Order: sequence, then structure tokens, then C-alpha cells
Amino acid sequence: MRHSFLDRYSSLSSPIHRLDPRAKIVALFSFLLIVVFTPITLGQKFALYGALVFSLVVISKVPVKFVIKRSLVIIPFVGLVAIGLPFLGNDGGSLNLGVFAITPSALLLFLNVIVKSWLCVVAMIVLTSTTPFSRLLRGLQGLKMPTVFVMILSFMYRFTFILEDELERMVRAREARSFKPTWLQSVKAAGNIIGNLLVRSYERGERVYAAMRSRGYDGEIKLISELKMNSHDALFITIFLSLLILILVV
Amino acid sequence: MLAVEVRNLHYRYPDGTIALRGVDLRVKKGERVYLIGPNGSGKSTLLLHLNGILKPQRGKVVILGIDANEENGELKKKVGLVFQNPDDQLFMPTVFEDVAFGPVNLKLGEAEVKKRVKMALEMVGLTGFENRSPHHLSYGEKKRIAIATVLAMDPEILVFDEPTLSLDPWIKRNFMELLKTLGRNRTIVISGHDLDLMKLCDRTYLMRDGRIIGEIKNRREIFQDSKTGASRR
Repeated sequence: MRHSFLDRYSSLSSPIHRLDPRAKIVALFSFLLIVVFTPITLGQKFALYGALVFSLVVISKVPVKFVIKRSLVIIPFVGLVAIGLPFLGNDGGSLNLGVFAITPSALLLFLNVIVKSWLCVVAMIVLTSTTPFSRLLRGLQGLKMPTVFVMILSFMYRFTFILEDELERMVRAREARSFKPTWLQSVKAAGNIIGNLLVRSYERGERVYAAMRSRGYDGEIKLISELKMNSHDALFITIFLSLLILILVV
Repeated sequence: MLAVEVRNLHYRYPDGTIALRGVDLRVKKGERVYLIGPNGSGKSTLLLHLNGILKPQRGKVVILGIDANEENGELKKKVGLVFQNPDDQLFMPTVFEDVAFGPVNLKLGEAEVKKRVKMALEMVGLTGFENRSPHHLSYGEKKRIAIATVLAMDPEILVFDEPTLSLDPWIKRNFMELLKTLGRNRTIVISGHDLDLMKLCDRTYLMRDGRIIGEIKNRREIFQDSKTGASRR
């Protein structure tokens, strides 16, 4: 079975795809920091940040529609957190809905959370959809992220697909043997499947660990990193950072 | 000198299942031995003892003169174990990193690691797969990469757990060809229940209920109860 949900489009070829993952990770984090620290009242700055990110999307040939669609996934999560914010102001207000008072400052706070998190997510989508996951990991490792974390991410990525396959097989096996289950029956079956998945993952963990030990794993993870920064990466970082600072300052 | 010497080996899993009840096995250097037996006869458990993943609970395992109870990791360098399920064996994000995992752990230099990876992929006929992810491979490709991960470590003894299980006949022939090219200077132990593999091995032993019950000369003997002392239920 073939999957690619995290790093779909990461195998395209574009100037953005070819960049060293470290350059992209550094660019992403500077972007996040600068966006988060810009006051929300400066609306035009956010428009420019958005333009900057989306110009990267265009250069990278990743479909804009895909990026937007994927970025909307976070709205329910952020929305849940931010939904109460407009009502929390206490400086009186003009927009009143019965007992709830919406004040401009509180509304601004709400916008603050929504706009910033959305921009950050778009930037992260640009990173993950222009960098194959393995290169992303190598980039993180090259930036001195502790190897344990890199390995955890790596295993997560590798075994998500296997778990997904296993789940699919179990669901199919259930469907093959059940005819019009009642609600209670299907909940029971779902419970069994989840439990089964846990046990199977645990056992797989044991077998994978045995396979690692068989090949000389002694608790210390050693990796070969083959990343090389070139002038393109330097150019990208310079341009990107100066544009960011320009937007922030001017 | 014996490559593998197993004497009266017993093993019981933590859940109480008794997997081995006194296994005796001697494999000479350069010999190819095939362990054949029904599912659950203890083949995999026995193989896990050969590189020190499992330690003998009773009895003795001596590999190339090294006592498994006294070693501390050397056996893993000398014995390469190919697991039954390639999804257990391939755990890195790319094929290159997976094949390089063993050599890197052997603390070989970077150039040597790359050379080993290239050689191993060439041997299994998958040159150019370095940057692929394991989840983008077919089952047969995964199986061959799993073999490459062990070949890259260049072990003196190669152990295959059910290598031809659920392979299609084309990839199976591929594997059998590979087995022939592995040369005579390597000791090979294979487990399984594929009768075709018998002709590639010097000796075939029948395993049943946690014991090796005897040597088999031709495939008909497997079904003769008097020879094996056990009957199919």
C-alpha cells in the first residue's frame, strides 16, 4: 500500500524543494517568531507576511488550493480555544449580543489568535510539503536536535503507515463478517479493534527492537548526515530574513 | 571448527509457553543448514538464540567459539539475522539509512559505510533504491532490502527466518539465486517449511515441538511417521 499524507508533493522539483532542509527550518522558525511578535493592530504587515508565504507556495509549485485546504484543518482546534475570547473584554462595547458584550479589544485578541496561528500553519505546510520527511529529519538532526527526538519522529512516521494498514485490514475483516451491525455491536467491535491495535503495536515494538539489537544497536543512535549548504541556501536565507525584517520594521 | 553449537537448549517465554525443549544442533563452518518444521515448532525462537538476542535459559549456545552466555554484543557482528517480517526489520525513513544502520553501528567510516550499502543493494538487485522510503516498496522489495541490511554488515554466519514465506515464485527464485551467489565461505542457517529450499542446503533437520528430531535426506521423509517419530494430527 502506498501512502503519503504528511509530505505529499514533497517529491516535486522546484527551487524551494532543492533547498537544504536546515535553511528551510531556520526560515520557518524565524517566520514563526516574527509573526507571533508583531502586534495585531498592524494589519497590513500580516497581509505582507501572507504574501511572502504564498509567494513561496507559488515558487514551490505546490497547489495553492491544497495548502489552503490543509491549513483549514486547524480552524476547529484554534476556534475551540479562541471562541470565548471575543466575550472576555471588560472595557464596554458597542457590539452587544444580549448578555454577551463583544468589545473591540477582545475581538482583536480573537483575530490575533486566528490570524497568527493560520499564518504559522501555512508556513509549516510549506515546509513539510516541500521537504521529504527523511530530509526534514536529517535537517533537524543537522540543527542539533537531540537524536532521541529525531528517532521518535522517525519511528512515528515509519510505523504510522503500518498501523494504518493494520487498522484497514482489521476493519475490512470485521466488515466481511458482520451484516448490518447495531450501534452497540459496532461500538463493541471498534473497542476490540482499538485494543487489538494497541497490543499489536506493543508486540511490533518488541520485534523491531530485536531487529535493531541484531544490527548492533546499543542504545546510542548513530546517523550519517549528508547535508551540504550551498550558495543557493545562503541566498534564500538572506533574502527571506531581510524581507521579514523589512516587513517588521517598515 | 564448529560455527554453531547448540546443546540441550531450553527456552520458555514469560507467558509460560515452552518454545524449546532440549535442542541440539551442530553446524560446521561453511555449511548450509535448513531447519524445517511446522509453525510453532520453535524455529524462530532457536534462531533468536544464535545472535544473542535471547540468552539460553538452560543448555549452551556456542557460536564460532564464543559462548552466548558470556558474550557482550560480539555475536551480533558475527551473525546476521534476517527477520521473518520485513516491516519489523526496516525502521528507518529511507532505504539507505536502513541498510547503513548496521555498518554505522559497527563504527565503520563513512566511505566504508557507503561502499557497503552500495554492495549490499547490488547483491539483492535493488541498486538505485537508496532514497526510497520503506512504505513505498512492495513486499518483495522490502524482503530483499531486509536481506541487504544484513549483508551490509558482512557477517560470518547468515541466519534467515522463513525467507521465502509469502514470496511469489519469481522473487523466490531471485532469493534462491542470491543464496547461490553468497559463496561458500559463509555459514548459512535457514528456517522455514518450503521444501524447495532443501536442495540448496547441505543438511536439513526436522524440528517439532521444540526439538530437532532428526536429519532428513529427501522430501518424502517429512511425511513418514516412523522416520520422524511424530504424526501429523
